[in-house]
Amino acid sequence: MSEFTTLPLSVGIGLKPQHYSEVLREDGDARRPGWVEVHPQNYFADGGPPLRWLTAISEQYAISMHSTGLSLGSASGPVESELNSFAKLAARITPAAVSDHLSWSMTGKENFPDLLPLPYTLETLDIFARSVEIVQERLGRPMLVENPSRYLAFSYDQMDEAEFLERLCAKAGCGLIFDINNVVVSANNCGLDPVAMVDAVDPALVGEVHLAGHASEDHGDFTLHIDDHGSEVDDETWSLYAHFIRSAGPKPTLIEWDTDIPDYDVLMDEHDKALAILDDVSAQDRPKVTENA
Amino acid sequence: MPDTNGSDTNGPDTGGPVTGGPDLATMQGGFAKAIRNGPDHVAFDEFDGDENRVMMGFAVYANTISHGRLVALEDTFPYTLAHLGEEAFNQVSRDFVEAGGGSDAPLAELGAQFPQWLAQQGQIEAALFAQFEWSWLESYRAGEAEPFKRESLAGLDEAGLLGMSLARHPAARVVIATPAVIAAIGLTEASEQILITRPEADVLIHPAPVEVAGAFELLKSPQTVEQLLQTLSVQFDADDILPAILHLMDAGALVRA
Repeated sequence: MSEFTTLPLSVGIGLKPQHYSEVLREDGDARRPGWVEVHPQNYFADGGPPLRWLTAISEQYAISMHSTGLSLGSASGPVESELNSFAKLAARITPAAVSDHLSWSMTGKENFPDLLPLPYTLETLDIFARSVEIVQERLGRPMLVENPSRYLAFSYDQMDEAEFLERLCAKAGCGLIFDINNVVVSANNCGLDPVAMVDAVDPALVGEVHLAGHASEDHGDFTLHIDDHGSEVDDETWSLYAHFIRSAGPKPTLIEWDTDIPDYDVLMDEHDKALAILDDVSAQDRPKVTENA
Repeated sequence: MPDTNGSDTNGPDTGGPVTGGPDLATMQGGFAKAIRNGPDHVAFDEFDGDENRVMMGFAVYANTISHGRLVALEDTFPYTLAHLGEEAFNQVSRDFVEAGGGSDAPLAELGAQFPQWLAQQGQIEAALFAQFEWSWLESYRAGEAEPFKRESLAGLDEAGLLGMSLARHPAARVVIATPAVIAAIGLTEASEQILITRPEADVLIHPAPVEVAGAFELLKSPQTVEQLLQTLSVQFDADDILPAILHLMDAGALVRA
């Protein structure tokens, strides 16, 4: 457990409606994840079946509420209606972690359903930190901010991503979701060294690790990686994850799979792979794992 | 990469723009314009790499946004899609998105304006399909409430019954239907309107004869049974009024106000 979350030091899965029943199974053959992550926007409702499912699941599992819509990087600050709905849901299910992304999705009145890139400047740092503070004040708890997958780099960045994130955490008192698939995607697309990117992140700031698959698009002399969360975690991401966990120690780890949703067993096979890596590292840190397993 | 403490900034943590780049609000406004209006509006000098490489990255964002909006419409309006056919639905969806429909809303609310927009395009029957589907979704996501059941009437004397105040259940909706809509959703009874309810977990569909729809319309604000009977007796045959109110109760469309 870190100061930023109460998630168990185990492996969680992104919760999908297709898997509700299996996640709630408790018989001897049930394959149960260590915790689950939800996109709160899918549960912004006054009632109805999704909220009923989520309430039932929250009675059995620690939940990470991972937002995609607060738009913390908007120059005008976070989206108030999203924050209101987020706070209402958080009060209902008492999540173990709350988070959003280092990105923006709203300008003026226009809402873009994507995680758009930010320049790493002092101005962005100021604005983003203030947005994080607004959210944290509203929720009464620290939040986590996820490193993005990038398809573009700004020509006027004043610092690299690791420095930006570290300064953000110092300024706003938040922690990080460290998405290692995003490192692989960004490093490829922006010509960076993924190992150096992993090594540059302070493990003490990381409250949750994300793993996912990505797609690749062949452009002749360049292969673009696209963060589609639509396949198994690739070998490079597994390797970087093991590298990070070996140096950082066990961290709550999420398997994300958001498009072309697989059968539950396929998702849980990925879960088990991550758990084996955590367990391997935990063997050197037995008291902590025994306590939280 | 510029020195973070260098003279090309407005000083540490002042929130000012950086030489060589726009301030954040200007960047975001420009980025949005390029998403909206296409590659001619991309500020290539704001990004690393040649124009080809920048366009490649920019296209990922633009495609994700467009794809997300179109898929949200497909997922929300499957009956409308089936009614129009895939090609025609894709065309009207693209037209809606390109006209800025729902661009101020998160994906979950993107479809709210779609039925009205279809009607404005002269797609009247498609608009009725879409209105049914949007109302179904509203019902699915509406708040929980204990529906008032017919059995609860037992034991009430006449004064108690007439003085009892009723209101719409938060998940109840009435929408106009055509025979095509009725057939598509599998209702066996012909009706010009449809009553949508969610008394428990599942959304239920019922025919809404004119008396039922009339009573439901009155209940947009709470009414006592006496008020309901008085007002409805002006519009409908006396023999049809009580069955209409009981129909609403049996469907789970009412709550005690």
